[in-house]
Amino acid sequence: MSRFPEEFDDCEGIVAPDGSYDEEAVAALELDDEEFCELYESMVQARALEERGLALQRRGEFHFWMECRGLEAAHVGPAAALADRDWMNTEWRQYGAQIQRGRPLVDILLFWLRGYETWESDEIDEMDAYERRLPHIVAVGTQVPQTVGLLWGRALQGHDEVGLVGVGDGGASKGDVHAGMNFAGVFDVPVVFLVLNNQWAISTPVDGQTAAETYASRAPGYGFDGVLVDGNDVLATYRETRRAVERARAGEPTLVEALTYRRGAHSSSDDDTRYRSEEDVERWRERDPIDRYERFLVDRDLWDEGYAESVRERAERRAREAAEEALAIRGEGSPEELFDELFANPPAYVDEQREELLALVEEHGEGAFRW
Amino acid sequence: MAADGLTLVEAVAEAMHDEMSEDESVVVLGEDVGRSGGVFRATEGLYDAFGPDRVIDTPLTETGIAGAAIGLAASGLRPVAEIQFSGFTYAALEQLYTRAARMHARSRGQFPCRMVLRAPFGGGVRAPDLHGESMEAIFVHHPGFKVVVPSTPRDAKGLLIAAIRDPDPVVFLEPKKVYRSFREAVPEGPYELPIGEAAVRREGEDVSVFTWGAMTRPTLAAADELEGEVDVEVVDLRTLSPMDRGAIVDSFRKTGRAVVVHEAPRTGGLAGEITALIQEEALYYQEAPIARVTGWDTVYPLYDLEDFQLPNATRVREAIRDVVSV
Repeated sequence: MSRFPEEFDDCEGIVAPDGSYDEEAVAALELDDEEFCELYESMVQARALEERGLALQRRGEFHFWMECRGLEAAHVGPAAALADRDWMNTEWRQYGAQIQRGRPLVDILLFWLRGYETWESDEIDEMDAYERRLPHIVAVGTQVPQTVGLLWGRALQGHDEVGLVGVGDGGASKGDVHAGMNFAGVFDVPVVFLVLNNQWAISTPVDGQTAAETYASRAPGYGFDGVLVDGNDVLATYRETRRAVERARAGEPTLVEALTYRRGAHSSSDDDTRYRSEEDVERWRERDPIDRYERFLVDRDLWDEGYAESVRERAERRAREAAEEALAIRGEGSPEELFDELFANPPAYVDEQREELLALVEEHGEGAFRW
Repeated sequence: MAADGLTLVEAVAEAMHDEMSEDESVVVLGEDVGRSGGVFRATEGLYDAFGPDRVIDTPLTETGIAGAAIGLAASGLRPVAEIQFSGFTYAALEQLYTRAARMHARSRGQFPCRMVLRAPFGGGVRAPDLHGESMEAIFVHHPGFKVVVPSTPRDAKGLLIAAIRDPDPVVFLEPKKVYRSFREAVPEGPYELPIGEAAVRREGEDVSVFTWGAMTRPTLAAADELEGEVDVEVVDLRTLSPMDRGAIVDSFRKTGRAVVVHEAPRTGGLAGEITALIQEEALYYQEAPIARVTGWDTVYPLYDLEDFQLPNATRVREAIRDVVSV
């Protein structure tokens, strides 16, 4: 059973599923045409990356892919609301958010291929916007107290930076999320909590995660505000997050709940037909965030078939090239990398074990280790 | 420094004080660490000296304390987080295992997890449930941590300062049974003792006893009792990860006999690791089976039965006698 934003009287929205929109609200966003188009292109890019990831998984070149179809507006809009100096700790499936922040696609793909991430800049103060993040860790919800600690620490050191941390409806059941929100409320930490309510935690529906009507309603319990936003409306997710970012800059956290729906499976290993109906998925397909936004852009004279075609082609080409590059880099891994960067100040046993492995590889060849 | 030296817990407080004076990026956080000075007074005086932005009383949540400390470390600060009793660290393990221990590896060095997690550790103080746990093995087993267990005031101060300066996450377990049992001269001002080096507390030729933390005291007492009968060498490991394997092997090669003493439960405990190390590195020097004197594999008992759980000098003495009689 799906929940829909229109069931909630106070759900924030700007563009309706049929593409009609509130002129005044749009004007108040103060976005120029280029910025409107950028949101669109990020969403299309996220979908193209997903299609490429899934195709490669089916061909056996990627072992795994987390799916994000239908969630693009909930990912892209909030990321667009951050200043370059701000931080964004996402969950692994928030590709659109990473793309909107300017993260190279190859970098996103490499996380799935080798498990670790790399940064261009050595120093925090020199980091580009997309680098201002902590590494993805698969344990859901654990990023929440850390984001609070990170922004708390940055504030203690005199930096005017805000953090956005995303967590899903499943992850929001974790004690860590409570601990992090509670800390933020107590210490006035400049963090925006984005609960991405996509209504499914693998096979468990949202009413199996919480008996509350909304996640936004949790916020007053932490001493700050919560807002429920139509997660398939990219302008609404942008606006509500921007408002939350402004409040965070003044030392007031906010919980933003984006109500949306994961139309894809949880991951490439998940068979969602076992636990939900095609009808439900179809009802949300009619609310697709990209289709809806296209109708808005048409009305603004920013969209036509030619433009859409060129955006899609470019997105597909980038996704293909990034995948090729990522697969090539993956193949360069050597066994000694196992021990790289385990510690900043490595004890001797790390070198000893590395030598032990390398001696075996030297003797038997890498092929003897492949299984 | 007081004329008659410091207790171990006073040395811990002095280490944090001295290092916070030295480096303004060091912050202390935990439950009751501020105004109260900590339930064991391990943070006494810090709040008055450094104020609420550097000595932070947190909400009661170990996963929050650990998680926030990881984030504070990523932000460029050097947090020293206190978990009030090591048994409460269970609540923080997901943060510690899934984040702290792999932050450096998963970010390829971009975000070292420069934090210390301090916790009063072990039993013997007639405390309630979950206040007597010895959890060193679970941290030693998990890649990515350094694990330190001092047994004397001088070591506690020097090792804690080294832990704060270390760029990796350090679990610093303080043997609360000996927090106030004795005093020792402790150098003034900050100094480091190297993480990864054992200390030979007593030299001997007949048998090596390997131990750490609070167990060092009954082990030395047992060695004293056997004076004239058995010449006992006592090696205090001080650091459990990295473990000073050279010191263990050297001592064993000299004596050919070993007893390992720890208060943690026996099965899967570090005595097994030390025994395996000796098998790998010094089998042909071995004169007798290696004995383990450990806590039993039980849920840690309360007051009345605690004495039977913890190894004491009698058990250590008898184990030594058994090993040298072979």
